Amino acid sequence: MNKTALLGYPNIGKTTLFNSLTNSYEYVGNWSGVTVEKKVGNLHNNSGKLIDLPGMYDLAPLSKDEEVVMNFFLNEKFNSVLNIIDANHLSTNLHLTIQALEFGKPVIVGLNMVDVAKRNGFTINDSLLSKRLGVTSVPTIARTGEGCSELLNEIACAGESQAFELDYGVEIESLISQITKIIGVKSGHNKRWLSIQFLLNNNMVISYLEGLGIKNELKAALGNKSFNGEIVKKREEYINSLIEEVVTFSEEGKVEWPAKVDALVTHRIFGLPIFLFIMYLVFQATFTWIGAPLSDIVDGFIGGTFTELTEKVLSAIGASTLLHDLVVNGIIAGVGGVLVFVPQIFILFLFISFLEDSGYMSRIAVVMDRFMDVFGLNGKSFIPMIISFGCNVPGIMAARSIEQKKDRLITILTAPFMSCSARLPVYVLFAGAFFSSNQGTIVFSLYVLGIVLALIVTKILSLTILKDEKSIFIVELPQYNLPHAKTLFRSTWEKGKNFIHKAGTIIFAGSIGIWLISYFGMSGANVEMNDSFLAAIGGFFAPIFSPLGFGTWQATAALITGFLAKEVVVSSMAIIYAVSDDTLGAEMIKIFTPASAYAFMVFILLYIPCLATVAVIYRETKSKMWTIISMAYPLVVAYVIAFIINKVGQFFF
Amino acid sequence: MNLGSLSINDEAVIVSISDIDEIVMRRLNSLGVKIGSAVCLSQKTLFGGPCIFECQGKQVSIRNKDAIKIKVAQV
Repeated sequence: MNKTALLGYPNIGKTTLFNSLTNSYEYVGNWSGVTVEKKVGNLHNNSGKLIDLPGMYDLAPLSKDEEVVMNFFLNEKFNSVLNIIDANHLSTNLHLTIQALEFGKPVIVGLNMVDVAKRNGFTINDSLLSKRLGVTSVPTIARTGEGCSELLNEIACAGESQAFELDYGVEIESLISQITKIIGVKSGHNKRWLSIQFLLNNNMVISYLEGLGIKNELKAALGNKSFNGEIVKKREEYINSLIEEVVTFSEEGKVEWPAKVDALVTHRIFGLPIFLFIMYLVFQATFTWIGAPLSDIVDGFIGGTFTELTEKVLSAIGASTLLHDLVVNGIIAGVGGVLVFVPQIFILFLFISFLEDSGYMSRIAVVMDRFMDVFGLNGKSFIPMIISFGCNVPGIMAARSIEQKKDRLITILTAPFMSCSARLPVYVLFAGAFFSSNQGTIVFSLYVLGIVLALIVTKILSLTILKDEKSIFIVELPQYNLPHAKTLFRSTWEKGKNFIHKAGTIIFAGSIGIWLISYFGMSGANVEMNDSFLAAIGGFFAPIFSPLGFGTWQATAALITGFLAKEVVVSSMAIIYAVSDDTLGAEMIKIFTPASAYAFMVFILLYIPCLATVAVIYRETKSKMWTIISMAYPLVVAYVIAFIINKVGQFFF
Repeated sequence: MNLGSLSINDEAVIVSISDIDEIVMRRLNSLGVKIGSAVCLSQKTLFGGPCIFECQGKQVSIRNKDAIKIKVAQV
């Protein structure tokens, strides 16, 4: 099988091209660090496999990603390299291209973002570039898929490689030939490439050569000199002369608007208000303008047409009362109660994907950095926090792009305080029932409370347990892009499909489970709800919550099941009260006071990360201790805050 | 003179980089920010927050406390 390795800098559209060239499905994002694990895709024309290597800068590894790539070059078999370079930054990107050419396998160059280059005033003579480098280079625009079919053709017919040799000067060349001789037949790799990487102090090549048992001979030949500077300088000279030949620059073609937009959105005074305004628009659109009407349609369909149809089918096949109740009161009530929120969740993710792909997210990091610095974090932590408003799972995964361990850990630990969209159904239900005249304000106050508590916890952590590590901040601001519809929908779907998946698995199973223990009791089947096993379990723990104002078995049972997924709280309540979502609110008023309802909402906001979030916290921290802490401390915080709210709230509401 | 003391739209060349955090240093190098690079300050933020500068067509943002460790000569 023909195998091609996809190599290139971070943030240059590599993952987007990967998606266009292969049949398989991948996560697409502008935020660096998205491509961490090795991914393999099938090429569209069935000509072989494409291996997506992490975005990286240099074959001599500094970061984990670079180690992955170097390890791949040394230890895995492949036929050719597809090197994606950013047409806007040839002078840096070509350093990697030279290293790939020296490796000796056929190289195909994808000259990406030629549209942006044009906008910046650069025109690149790609046929001349191909001729000089001795490779085929294809101009591409990853966002629109332009150039992809040419790339596929080139990959399919990549044959023998042409020798690429850059003259590094007499001294280095003689060393290269010495080292080449020492290696002899011991290695199957290109000996010139190994020699150059060795002279560059590439630690993985050094240990590879040591593994061949020629350490002492190499030491004798090299002495203690480092040639890093000279080699890089030679390459720079070569690249500069190449650029002079193939690139023409004209001020005329240059478009000024990106600079003007940047001057505005990162403005020292207007930057923050603009950001807050954009977030306000996003939330308004998600929850009021577009999301709510769509949710109503879904609700009407599930509660009306779909339920009626199911009931007809059930009676037609002569289903028993048990099965009928299970399907209608268990599954449809439970799963349906959650599916209603799918439109809002997808719209929120659509906006978040748009902000990511357009390049605005990294500007937010800059705008928010000074503020986050007060709490001991950096601006990059703000992005996982925003994504967490959609769902904590991708939010915590987005923390990967933060370089420092301490910053990453704090971000992971506090992200669950960001109110994810799964908690929204609970707020909508309670706020609608108890605070119908100022629903919006109540829901907004919960979001703010989550942020404030996250910042307080951050400050405490960075002053105590994690005080020894300082926070750093450096971010590259990618060029603005109008996100392409296909890419946008794909990344929205990637983020949101988790919810549909949850509805079909955890929530489906949870609904059946909850219904079963509510249907059966000590005295048999179809018992009164108050005599069910669910009532017994809830009743056992209920006294713990009495000081918070919701010490009923129903609320307690809903909280316990809410650990599976926060949406399940509403499903549970729908099953417990055996009513549809429409009339659930009316039932609530009988049990909660406004103060205890608000305390309950706050408790739901804070009490514990859901099962899926706990799993991702463990995966990202690889620490049982921090995972347990991430579950335990929110319980304490939630209990204390809900207690205060219930006591103080009695005087207000 | 250092990068942090430039005014917006000032152009300069990096003369020395010293005493900067190692991770910041590595990232700067791979973005093409090194001694001899031409830079142009494009934005500053309030209260000593990060600044944005352009280097080889890339927009890079670092904190002010790091920017003042990058010595520059104006052109």
